[in-house]
Amino acid sequence: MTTTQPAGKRDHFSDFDLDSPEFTEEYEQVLGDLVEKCPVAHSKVAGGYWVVSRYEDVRACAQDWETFSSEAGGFEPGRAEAEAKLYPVELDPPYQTRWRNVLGPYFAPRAIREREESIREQADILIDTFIEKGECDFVADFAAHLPGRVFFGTFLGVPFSELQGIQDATDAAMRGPMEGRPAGWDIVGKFLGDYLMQRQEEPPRGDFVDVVLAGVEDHDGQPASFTHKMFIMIDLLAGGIGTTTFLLAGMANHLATNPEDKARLMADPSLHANAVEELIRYYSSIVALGRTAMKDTDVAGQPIAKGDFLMLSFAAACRDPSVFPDPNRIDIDRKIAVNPAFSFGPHRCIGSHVARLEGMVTLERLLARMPDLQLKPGTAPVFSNSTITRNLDSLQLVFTPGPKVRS
Amino acid sequence: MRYLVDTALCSGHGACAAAADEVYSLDDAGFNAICGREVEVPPELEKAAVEGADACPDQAIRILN
Repeated sequence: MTTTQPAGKRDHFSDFDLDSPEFTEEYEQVLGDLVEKCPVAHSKVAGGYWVVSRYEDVRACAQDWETFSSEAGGFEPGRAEAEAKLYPVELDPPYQTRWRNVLGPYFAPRAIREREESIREQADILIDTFIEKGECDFVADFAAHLPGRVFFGTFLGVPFSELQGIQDATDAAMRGPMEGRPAGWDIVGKFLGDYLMQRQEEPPRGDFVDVVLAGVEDHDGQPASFTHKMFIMIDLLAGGIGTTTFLLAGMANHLATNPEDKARLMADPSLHANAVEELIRYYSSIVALGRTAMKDTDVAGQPIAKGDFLMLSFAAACRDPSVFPDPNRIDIDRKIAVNPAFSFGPHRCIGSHVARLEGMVTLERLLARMPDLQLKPGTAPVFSNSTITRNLDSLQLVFTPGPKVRS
Repeated sequence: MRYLVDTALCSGHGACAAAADEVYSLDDAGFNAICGREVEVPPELEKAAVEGADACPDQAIRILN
Protein backbone atom coordinates (compact mmCIF):
# COMPACT_ATOMS: atom_id res chain seq x y z
CA MET A 1 0.00 0.00 0.00
CA THR A 2 2.48 2.62 -1.16
CA THR A 3 1.28 6.15 -0.62
CA THR A 4 4.50 8.16 -0.87
CA GLN A 5 7.98 7.13 -1.92
CA PRO A 6 10.04 6.64 1.25
CA ALA A 7 13.27 8.49 1.90
CA GLY A 8 16.58 6.68 1.44
CA LYS A 9 18.13 4.19 -0.93
CA ARG A 10 15.49 1.51 -1.05
CA ASP A 11 11.73 1.51 -1.52
CA HIS A 12 10.93 -0.03 1.84
CA PHE A 13 7.19 0.32 1.20
CA SER A 14 6.93 -2.06 -1.77
CA ASP A 15 10.30 -3.85 -1.52
CA PHE A 16 10.80 -4.29 2.21
CA ASP A 17 13.36 -6.80 3.46
CA LEU A 18 14.04 -7.50 7.13
CA ASP A 19 17.53 -8.64 6.14
CA SER A 20 18.45 -5.82 3.76
CA PRO A 21 21.50 -3.72 4.67
CA GLU A 22 19.42 -0.62 3.94
CA PHE A 23 16.96 -1.59 6.68
CA THR A 24 19.78 -2.09 9.19
CA GLU A 25 21.37 1.25 8.25
CA GLU A 26 18.22 3.35 8.08
CA TYR A 27 16.44 1.42 10.84
CA GLU A 28 14.90 4.22 12.89
CA GLN A 29 13.92 6.23 9.81
CA VAL A 30 12.31 3.22 8.14
CA LEU A 31 10.25 2.28 11.21
CA GLY A 32 9.02 5.87 11.42
CA ASP A 33 8.22 6.02 7.71
CA LEU A 34 6.27 2.75 7.85
CA VAL A 35 4.13 3.87 10.78
CA GLU A 36 3.52 7.31 9.34
CA LYS A 37 3.08 6.65 5.62
CA CYS A 38 2.67 2.95 4.89
CA PRO A 39 1.01 0.97 7.70
CA VAL A 40 0.90 -2.20 5.59
CA ALA A 41 4.07 -2.42 3.49
CA HIS A 42 5.02 -5.32 1.23
CA SER A 43 8.10 -7.48 0.78
CA LYS A 44 9.08 -9.65 -2.18
CA VAL A 45 11.15 -11.97 -0.02
CA ALA A 46 10.21 -15.66 0.47
CA GLY A 47 7.14 -15.55 -1.72
CA GLY A 48 6.11 -12.12 -0.43
CA TYR A 49 4.82 -10.89 2.90
CA TRP A 50 3.04 -7.88 4.42
CA VAL A 51 4.53 -5.71 7.17
CA VAL A 52 2.05 -4.32 9.72
CA SER A 53 3.50 -1.41 11.69
CA ARG A 54 0.93 0.69 13.56
CA TYR A 55 0.26 0.00 17.24
CA GLU A 56 -3.50 -0.51 16.87
CA ASP A 57 -3.18 -2.75 13.79
CA VAL A 58 -0.41 -4.84 15.35
CA ARG A 59 -2.49 -5.22 18.50
CA ALA A 60 -5.64 -6.17 16.64
CA CYS A 61 -3.87 -8.77 14.46
CA ALA A 62 -1.95 -10.29 17.37
CA GLN A 63 -5.12 -10.65 19.44
CA ASP A 64 -7.11 -12.20 16.60
CA TRP A 65 -5.39 -15.58 16.50
CA GLU A 66 -8.26 -17.24 14.64
CA THR A 67 -7.73 -14.97 11.60
CA PHE A 68 -3.95 -14.64 11.97
CA SER A 69 -2.43 -18.02 12.76
CA SER A 70 0.98 -18.50 14.35
CA GLU A 71 0.94 -22.18 13.47
CA ALA A 72 0.14 -22.30 9.76
CA GLY A 73 3.24 -20.51 8.47
CA GLY A 74 5.52 -20.15 11.46
CA PHE A 75 7.23 -17.16 13.01
CA GLU A 76 9.24 -15.83 10.06
CA PRO A 77 9.08 -15.95 6.25
CA GLY A 78 9.97 -19.33 4.76
CA ARG A 79 9.28 -21.35 7.93
CA ALA A 80 6.28 -23.34 6.70
CA GLU A 81 8.30 -26.44 5.81
CA ALA A 82 10.76 -26.31 8.69
CA GLU A 83 11.11 -29.55 10.65
CA ALA A 84 12.22 -28.11 13.97
CA LYS A 85 9.42 -25.95 15.34
CA LEU A 86 9.54 -23.39 18.09
CA TYR A 87 6.73 -24.20 20.51
CA PRO A 88 4.61 -22.53 21.80
CA VAL A 89 5.51 -19.65 19.42
CA GLU A 90 4.44 -21.69 16.39
CA LEU A 91 1.24 -23.04 17.91
CA ASP A 92 -2.33 -21.77 18.01
CA PRO A 93 -4.87 -22.22 20.80
CA PRO A 94 -6.11 -24.48 22.28
CA TYR A 95 -2.84 -26.51 22.35
CA GLN A 96 -0.85 -23.29 22.83
CA THR A 97 -3.16 -22.22 25.67
CA ARG A 98 -2.58 -25.51 27.50
CA TRP A 99 1.19 -24.96 27.47
CA ARG A 100 0.73 -21.32 28.51
CA ASN A 101 -1.46 -22.29 31.46
CA VAL A 102 0.97 -24.83 32.92
CA LEU A 103 4.12 -22.76 32.28
CA GLY A 104 2.65 -19.41 33.33
CA PRO A 105 2.93 -19.74 37.12
CA TYR A 106 6.71 -20.27 36.89
CA PHE A 107 7.15 -16.95 35.07
CA ALA A 108 4.77 -14.90 37.21
CA PRO A 109 6.22 -11.89 39.08
CA ARG A 110 5.99 -13.63 42.42
CA ALA A 111 7.85 -16.70 41.16
CA ILE A 112 10.49 -14.65 39.36
CA ARG A 113 11.22 -12.45 42.37
CA GLU A 114 12.77 -15.42 44.18
CA ARG A 115 15.44 -15.54 41.45
CA GLU A 116 16.66 -12.00 41.99
CA GLU A 117 19.64 -12.80 44.22
CA SER A 118 20.80 -15.55 41.86
CA ILE A 119 20.56 -13.17 38.89
CA ARG A 120 22.54 -10.56 40.83
CA GLU A 121 25.24 -13.14 41.57
CA GLN A 122 25.45 -14.09 37.87
CA ALA A 123 25.73 -10.40 36.93
CA ASP A 124 28.51 -9.78 39.44
CA ILE A 125 30.44 -12.86 38.30
CA LEU A 126 30.40 -11.49 34.74
CA ILE A 127 31.43 -7.98 35.80
CA ASP A 128 34.29 -9.51 37.83
CA THR A 129 35.82 -10.81 34.58
CA PHE A 130 36.61 -7.28 33.37
CA ILE A 131 36.17 -4.84 36.28
CA GLU A 132 39.92 -4.70 37.04
CA LYS A 133 40.77 -3.83 33.44
CA GLY A 134 38.73 -0.64 33.25
CA GLU A 135 37.33 -1.56 29.85
CA CYS A 136 35.13 -4.18 28.20
CA ASP A 137 33.05 -5.03 25.21
CA PHE A 138 29.81 -4.96 27.15
CA VAL A 139 28.05 -7.21 24.62
CA ALA A 140 30.66 -9.98 24.39
CA ASP A 141 31.63 -9.76 28.07
CA PHE A 142 28.25 -9.31 29.74
CA ALA A 143 25.02 -8.77 27.81
CA ALA A 144 25.39 -11.84 25.59
CA HIS A 145 26.03 -14.05 28.62
CA LEU A 146 23.76 -12.97 31.44
CA PRO A 147 20.50 -14.26 29.89
CA GLY A 148 21.99 -17.69 29.12
CA ARG A 149 23.55 -17.98 32.56
CA VAL A 150 20.17 -17.10 34.08
CA PHE A 151 18.40 -19.73 31.98
CA PHE A 152 20.87 -22.55 32.56
CA GLY A 153 22.22 -21.59 35.99
CA THR A 154 19.37 -19.85 37.77
CA PHE A 155 16.42 -21.71 36.23
CA LEU A 156 17.79 -25.15 35.30
CA GLY A 157 20.31 -25.40 38.15
CA VAL A 158 23.19 -26.40 35.87
CA PRO A 159 26.29 -26.56 38.09
CA PHE A 160 28.86 -23.80 37.77
CA SER A 161 31.48 -26.15 36.32
CA GLU A 162 29.29 -26.93 33.28
CA LEU A 163 27.84 -23.47 32.84
CA GLN A 164 30.61 -21.92 30.77
CA GLY A 165 30.61 -24.74 28.20
CA ILE A 166 26.89 -24.71 27.47
CA GLN A 167 26.78 -20.92 27.56
CA ASP A 168 29.62 -20.72 25.00
CA ALA A 169 27.74 -23.13 22.70
CA THR A 170 24.56 -21.05 23.08
CA ASP A 171 26.48 -17.89 22.22
CA ALA A 172 27.97 -19.60 19.14
CA ALA A 173 24.45 -20.65 18.08
CA MET A 174 22.98 -17.19 18.61
CA ARG A 175 25.76 -14.77 17.64
CA GLY A 176 28.72 -16.73 16.24
CA PRO A 177 29.80 -16.88 12.59
CA MET A 178 26.87 -18.11 10.44
CA GLU A 179 28.59 -21.35 9.41
CA GLY A 180 29.08 -22.36 13.05
CA ARG A 181 25.55 -21.71 14.23
CA PRO A 182 23.99 -25.09 13.30
CA ALA A 183 26.77 -26.86 15.22
CA GLY A 184 26.08 -24.60 18.20
CA TRP A 185 22.37 -25.46 18.07
CA ASP A 186 23.25 -29.17 17.85
CA ILE A 187 25.19 -28.89 21.10
CA VAL A 188 22.42 -26.89 22.78
CA GLY A 189 19.72 -29.30 21.54
CA LYS A 190 21.65 -32.35 22.74
CA PHE A 191 22.28 -30.69 26.10
CA LEU A 192 18.58 -29.91 26.58
CA GLY A 193 17.52 -33.38 25.40
CA ASP A 194 19.94 -35.05 27.80
CA TYR A 195 18.85 -32.67 30.54
CA LEU A 196 15.16 -33.54 30.06
CA MET A 197 15.94 -37.28 30.03
CA GLN A 198 17.99 -36.96 33.19
CA ARG A 199 15.25 -34.98 34.92
CA GLN A 200 12.72 -37.64 33.91
CA GLU A 201 14.60 -40.08 36.16
CA GLU A 202 14.68 -37.68 39.12
CA PRO A 203 12.03 -36.63 41.62
CA PRO A 204 10.24 -33.35 40.70
CA ARG A 205 12.00 -30.15 41.75
CA GLY A 206 8.97 -27.86 41.70
CA ASP A 207 10.21 -25.90 38.68
CA PHE A 208 8.96 -25.36 35.12
CA VAL A 209 10.88 -28.39 33.85
CA ASP A 210 8.49 -30.57 35.89
CA VAL A 211 5.52 -29.26 33.92
CA VAL A 212 7.36 -29.50 30.58
CA LEU A 213 8.01 -33.17 31.36
CA ALA A 214 4.43 -33.73 32.58
CA GLY A 215 3.25 -32.23 29.29
CA VAL A 216 -0.23 -31.32 28.09
CA GLU A 217 -2.66 -32.72 25.52
CA ASP A 218 -1.82 -31.79 21.93
CA HIS A 219 -4.33 -30.80 19.24
CA ASP A 220 -5.31 -34.46 18.77
CA GLY A 221 -5.90 -35.03 22.47
CA GLN A 222 -2.71 -37.09 22.70
CA PRO A 223 0.07 -36.50 25.25
CA ALA A 224 2.63 -34.03 23.88
CA SER A 225 5.60 -35.89 22.41
CA PHE A 226 9.14 -35.70 23.73
CA THR A 227 10.04 -33.75 20.58
CA HIS A 228 7.43 -31.14 21.40
CA LYS A 229 8.82 -30.89 24.93
CA MET A 230 12.24 -30.26 23.40
CA PHE A 231 10.76 -27.51 21.22
CA ILE A 232 9.33 -25.89 24.34
CA MET A 233 12.71 -25.90 26.06
CA ILE A 234 14.47 -24.47 23.01
CA ASP A 235 11.85 -21.73 22.63
CA LEU A 236 12.10 -20.75 26.29
CA LEU A 237 15.87 -20.50 25.85
CA ALA A 238 15.95 -18.81 22.44
CA GLY A 239 13.15 -16.37 23.25
CA GLY A 240 14.98 -14.94 26.22
CA ILE A 241 18.56 -14.77 25.04
CA GLY A 242 19.14 -12.44 22.07
CA THR A 243 16.22 -10.28 23.12
CA THR A 244 17.48 -9.60 26.62
CA THR A 245 21.04 -9.18 25.32
CA PHE A 246 19.86 -6.27 23.21
CA LEU A 247 17.99 -4.72 26.14
CA LEU A 248 20.96 -4.95 28.52
CA ALA A 249 23.44 -3.62 25.94
CA GLY A 250 21.05 -0.85 24.94
CA MET A 251 20.69 0.12 28.59
CA ALA A 252 24.48 0.35 29.02
CA ASN A 253 24.67 2.41 25.83
CA HIS A 254 22.08 4.81 27.20
CA LEU A 255 23.89 5.19 30.56
CA ALA A 256 27.22 5.73 28.77
CA THR A 257 25.85 8.43 26.50
CA ASN A 258 23.27 10.20 28.70
CA PRO A 259 24.97 11.42 31.90
CA GLU A 260 21.88 13.34 33.00
CA ASP A 261 19.67 10.25 33.03
CA LYS A 262 22.48 8.29 34.67
CA ALA A 263 22.78 10.86 37.46
CA ARG A 264 19.04 10.81 38.08
CA LEU A 265 18.96 7.00 38.17
CA MET A 266 21.89 6.93 40.62
CA ALA A 267 20.21 9.44 42.89
CA ASP A 268 16.77 7.84 42.84
CA PRO A 269 16.31 4.07 42.48
CA SER A 270 12.54 4.55 42.48
CA LEU A 271 12.95 5.68 38.85
CA HIS A 272 14.47 2.37 37.77
CA ALA A 273 11.36 0.36 36.98
CA ASN A 274 9.92 3.06 34.75
CA ALA A 275 13.28 3.60 33.03
CA VAL A 276 13.63 -0.12 32.32
CA GLU A 277 10.14 -0.20 30.77
CA GLU A 278 11.04 2.72 28.49
CA LEU A 279 14.34 1.08 27.49
CA ILE A 280 12.41 -2.10 26.65
CA ARG A 281 10.21 -0.01 24.36
CA TYR A 282 13.09 1.81 22.68
CA TYR A 283 15.35 -1.25 22.39
CA SER A 284 12.50 -3.48 21.25
CA SER A 285 14.54 -6.46 20.19
CA ILE A 286 11.88 -8.38 18.27
CA VAL A 287 11.51 -6.38 15.07
CA ALA A 288 8.57 -8.48 13.87
CA LEU A 289 6.98 -11.95 14.10
CA GLY A 290 4.89 -13.77 11.53
CA ARG A 291 1.24 -14.71 11.14
CA THR A 292 -0.65 -16.43 8.33
CA ALA A 293 -4.07 -15.16 7.23
CA MET A 294 -6.62 -17.97 7.59
CA LYS A 295 -9.29 -16.16 5.54
CA ASP A 296 -9.65 -13.15 3.25
CA THR A 297 -9.57 -10.02 5.37
CA ASP A 298 -8.10 -6.56 5.47
CA VAL A 299 -5.69 -4.63 7.67
CA ALA A 300 -5.76 -0.82 7.70
CA GLY A 301 -7.68 -0.90 4.42
CA GLN A 302 -5.21 -3.22 2.68
CA PRO A 303 -6.92 -6.39 1.39
CA ILE A 304 -5.18 -9.51 2.70
CA ALA A 305 -5.87 -12.84 0.98
CA LYS A 306 -6.29 -16.18 2.71
CA GLY A 307 -2.81 -17.75 2.95
CA ASP A 308 -0.93 -14.44 2.87
CA PHE A 309 1.97 -14.11 5.28
CA LEU A 310 2.22 -11.06 7.54
CA MET A 311 4.99 -9.79 9.78
CA LEU A 312 3.65 -7.87 12.77
CA SER A 313 6.27 -5.27 13.62
CA PHE A 314 6.42 -4.83 17.37
CA ALA A 315 9.47 -2.56 17.01
CA ALA A 316 7.50 -0.27 14.70
CA ALA A 317 4.49 -0.28 17.06
CA CYS A 318 6.90 0.83 19.80
CA ARG A 319 7.68 3.92 17.66
CA ASP A 320 4.07 4.82 16.85
CA PRO A 321 3.85 8.54 17.69
CA SER A 322 0.07 8.38 18.19
CA VAL A 323 0.75 6.24 21.28
CA PHE A 324 4.32 7.32 22.16
CA PRO A 325 4.88 11.00 21.33
CA ASP A 326 8.42 11.83 20.16
CA PRO A 327 9.01 8.08 19.90
CA ASN A 328 12.71 8.16 18.97
CA ARG A 329 13.60 9.86 22.23
CA ILE A 330 14.32 7.83 25.36
CA ASP A 331 12.27 9.48 28.10
CA ILE A 332 12.80 7.60 31.36
CA ASP A 333 9.72 9.31 32.82
CA ARG A 334 7.45 8.14 29.98
CA LYS A 335 4.40 6.25 31.25
CA ILE A 336 3.84 3.13 29.18
CA ALA A 337 0.43 1.55 29.66
CA VAL A 338 1.00 -1.51 27.45
CA ASN A 339 4.48 -2.23 26.11
CA PRO A 340 4.22 -3.47 22.50
CA ALA A 341 7.78 -4.82 22.66
CA PHE A 342 6.29 -7.92 24.35
CA SER A 343 3.56 -8.38 21.69
CA PHE A 344 -0.16 -8.72 22.42
CA GLY A 345 -2.68 -11.51 22.73
CA PRO A 346 -2.11 -15.22 23.33
CA HIS A 347 1.58 -15.06 22.42
CA ARG A 348 2.53 -12.07 24.54
CA CYS A 349 6.03 -12.72 25.91
CA ILE A 350 5.88 -15.29 28.72
CA GLY A 351 9.28 -14.15 29.99
CA SER A 352 8.51 -10.43 30.25
CA HIS A 353 9.04 -10.38 33.99
CA VAL A 354 12.35 -12.22 33.68
CA ALA A 355 13.52 -9.63 31.14
CA ARG A 356 12.39 -6.78 33.38
CA LEU A 357 14.18 -8.27 36.39
CA GLU A 358 17.42 -8.84 34.45
CA GLY A 359 17.12 -5.22 33.32
CA MET A 360 16.57 -3.97 36.89
CA VAL A 361 19.49 -5.99 38.29
CA THR A 362 21.83 -4.97 35.47
CA LEU A 363 20.92 -1.31 35.89
CA GLU A 364 21.63 -1.54 39.62
CA ARG A 365 24.97 -3.33 39.15
CA LEU A 366 26.16 -0.97 36.40
CA LEU A 367 25.42 2.10 38.50
CA ALA A 368 27.07 0.54 41.56
CA ARG A 369 30.18 -0.94 39.95
CA MET A 370 30.85 1.11 36.80
CA PRO A 371 29.39 4.50 37.74
CA ASP A 372 31.57 6.51 35.34
CA LEU A 373 31.10 4.22 32.32
CA GLN A 374 31.56 5.87 28.92
CA LEU A 375 31.92 4.80 25.33
CA LYS A 376 35.56 4.00 24.54
CA PRO A 377 36.87 7.04 22.62
CA GLY A 378 37.05 6.40 18.90
CA THR A 379 34.44 3.60 19.03
CA ALA A 380 30.73 3.52 18.31
CA PRO A 381 28.10 0.91 19.12
CA VAL A 382 27.65 -1.60 16.27
CA PHE A 383 24.02 -2.46 15.45
CA SER A 384 22.75 -5.22 13.15
CA ASN A 385 19.54 -7.01 12.21
CA SER A 386 19.03 -10.75 11.84
CA THR A 387 15.59 -11.23 10.28
CA ILE A 388 13.34 -11.02 13.33
CA THR A 389 15.73 -9.33 15.78
CA ARG A 390 17.59 -6.06 16.18
CA ASN A 391 21.01 -6.55 17.79
CA LEU A 392 23.93 -4.72 19.30
CA ASP A 393 27.05 -6.61 18.21
CA SER A 394 29.61 -4.50 20.02
CA LEU A 395 29.63 -1.83 22.73
CA GLN A 396 33.12 -0.79 23.86
CA LEU A 397 33.07 0.81 27.31
CA VAL A 398 35.74 2.37 29.54
CA PHE A 399 35.41 3.07 33.27
CA THR A 400 37.53 3.41 36.41
CA PRO A 401 38.78 -0.08 37.35
CA GLY A 402 37.31 -1.57 40.50
CA PRO A 403 37.72 -4.69 42.68
CA LYS A 404 36.17 -8.09 42.10
CA VAL A 405 33.36 -8.92 44.51
CA ARG A 406 32.61 -12.64 43.99
CA SER A 407 36.04 -14.22 43.76
CA MET B 1 -18.34 -15.37 26.99
CA ARG B 2 -15.42 -16.57 29.08
CA TYR B 3 -12.19 -14.94 30.20
CA LEU B 4 -8.77 -16.27 31.11
CA VAL B 5 -6.09 -14.48 33.13
CA ASP B 6 -2.56 -15.42 32.07
CA THR B 7 -0.57 -16.17 35.22
CA ALA B 8 2.73 -15.19 33.64
CA LEU B 9 1.47 -11.75 32.72
CA CYS B 10 -0.62 -10.61 35.70
CA SER B 11 1.58 -8.20 37.67
CA GLY B 12 -0.85 -7.09 40.31
CA HIS B 13 -1.63 -3.63 38.93
CA GLY B 14 -5.25 -4.16 39.98
CA ALA B 15 -6.50 -2.26 36.94
CA CYS B 16 -9.02 -4.97 36.03
CA ALA B 17 -10.78 -4.79 39.37
CA ALA B 18 -10.62 -0.99 39.38
CA ALA B 19 -12.34 -0.91 36.00
CA ALA B 20 -14.82 -3.73 36.62
CA ASP B 21 -15.05 -4.95 40.20
CA GLU B 22 -18.29 -6.73 39.41
CA VAL B 23 -16.24 -9.18 37.29
CA TYR B 24 -12.69 -9.20 38.62
CA SER B 25 -11.41 -9.59 42.16
CA LEU B 26 -7.90 -9.49 43.59
CA ASP B 27 -6.10 -11.79 45.98
CA ASP B 28 -4.31 -10.64 49.14
CA ALA B 29 -1.21 -9.67 47.17
CA GLY B 30 -3.17 -7.63 44.65
CA PHE B 31 -3.01 -10.11 41.78
CA ASN B 32 -6.10 -11.26 39.91
CA ALA B 33 -7.71 -13.85 42.14
CA ILE B 34 -8.52 -16.33 39.37
CA CYS B 35 -5.36 -16.81 37.32
CA GLY B 36 -4.87 -19.69 34.91
CA ARG B 37 -8.38 -21.06 34.43
CA GLU B 38 -11.27 -20.06 32.23
CA VAL B 39 -14.17 -18.23 33.87
CA GLU B 40 -17.70 -17.93 32.50
CA VAL B 41 -19.07 -14.37 32.25
CA PRO B 42 -22.84 -13.86 32.56
CA PRO B 43 -24.29 -11.92 29.58
CA GLU B 44 -25.10 -8.83 31.64
CA LEU B 45 -21.44 -8.50 32.69
CA GLU B 46 -19.84 -9.02 29.27
CA LYS B 47 -19.31 -5.31 28.65
CA ALA B 48 -17.65 -4.85 32.04
CA ALA B 49 -15.46 -7.90 31.45
CA VAL B 50 -14.14 -6.42 28.20
CA GLU B 51 -13.50 -3.04 29.82
CA GLY B 52 -11.57 -4.67 32.64
CA ALA B 53 -9.50 -6.69 30.17
CA ASP B 54 -8.73 -3.56 28.13
CA ALA B 55 -7.55 -1.79 31.28
CA CYS B 56 -4.82 -4.36 32.01
CA PRO B 57 -1.36 -2.83 31.41
CA ASP B 58 0.12 -6.27 30.86
CA GLN B 59 -2.58 -7.55 28.52
CA ALA B 60 -2.99 -10.44 30.91
CA ILE B 61 -6.72 -10.98 30.40
CA ARG B 62 -7.94 -12.77 27.32
CA ILE B 63 -11.60 -12.63 26.38
CA LEU B 64 -12.70 -15.96 24.87
CA ASN B 65 -15.90 -15.91 22.88
